[in-house]
Amino acid sequence: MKYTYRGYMYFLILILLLVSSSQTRPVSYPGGWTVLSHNDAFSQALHVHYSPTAFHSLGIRQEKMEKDNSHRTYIQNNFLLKRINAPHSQANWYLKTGLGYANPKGNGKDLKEASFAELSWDWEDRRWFVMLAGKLDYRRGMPTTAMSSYRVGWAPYVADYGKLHTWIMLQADHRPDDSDSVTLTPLLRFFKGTQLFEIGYSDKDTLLINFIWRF
Amino acid sequence: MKTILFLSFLITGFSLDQSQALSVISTTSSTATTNISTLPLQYKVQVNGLVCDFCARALEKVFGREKAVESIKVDLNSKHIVLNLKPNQQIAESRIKKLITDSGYHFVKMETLHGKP
Repeated sequence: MKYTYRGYMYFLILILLLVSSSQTRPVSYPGGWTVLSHNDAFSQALHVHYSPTAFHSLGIRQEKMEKDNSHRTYIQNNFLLKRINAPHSQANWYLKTGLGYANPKGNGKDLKEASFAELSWDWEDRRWFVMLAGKLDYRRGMPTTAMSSYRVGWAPYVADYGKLHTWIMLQADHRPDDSDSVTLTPLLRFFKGTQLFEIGYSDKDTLLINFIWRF
Repeated sequence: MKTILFLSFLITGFSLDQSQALSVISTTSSTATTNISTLPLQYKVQVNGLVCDFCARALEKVFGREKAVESIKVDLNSKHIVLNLKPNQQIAESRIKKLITDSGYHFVKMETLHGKP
């Protein structure tokens, strides 16, 4: 009961904070495929998804968690819960869920059920970007952990469609269970057409490299 | 006499040039009028929520599947898309609105730039 209550409180906190993840736009256009590669201080992940509609995508996620050194495999659903399209900006609420298993020893034995849920909000115009995200991560045999991410970005110039867009961003990750719970990562985002590439370096001396390709 | 002939030549020549020039203008104008009426339709659509290349690419992909569409140009600065249709093709406004809405964006308004409305 205590466990359920804690999870419930985390979920409420996440909703209140409108927490986020470092992936941008986890849903594509109808019929679109997306490949996302995500590498930072906490995990290395590869996610491939297909969007039957502009409001839902379904895919597979393979992730290696630094926390417990386990390999995770998920069926991941991403939902665009709400989008506000303004004349010069856009805001999105996303829900991402993953259901799968963890391979704690990396040898394919002793598999554990694993899942996650993440709620995120972002807002951007062509000059500014803000994102908040919160995530609950579960693996059988380990306590559920909560984490949150925050990101702000600024574009030094506004480029036309098809040209190279450059963003200067700062990401903050909060892992309450860690002794040094906050990680700051300044990063650069390069965005052109259907490819997005991010590179950064955290105050924990870890590299961030993200890549997104849509087709 | 030579002077009279020379002046007559100049006047006649000028008149001919002028009439030929007017004829050319008339022909050009007539051709342009004809071409405008037979040009394929071109729609300019104002869309809210166009903030990045992913948005632009999404609309390109979605409208690119429409048989009537020859090409699409997305302008992130003006928040417009311009749809160039194939000859003798048209798309209803309701269809364009649905495609934009289903793509996750907001249709504001559209106008026909040229061709039959």
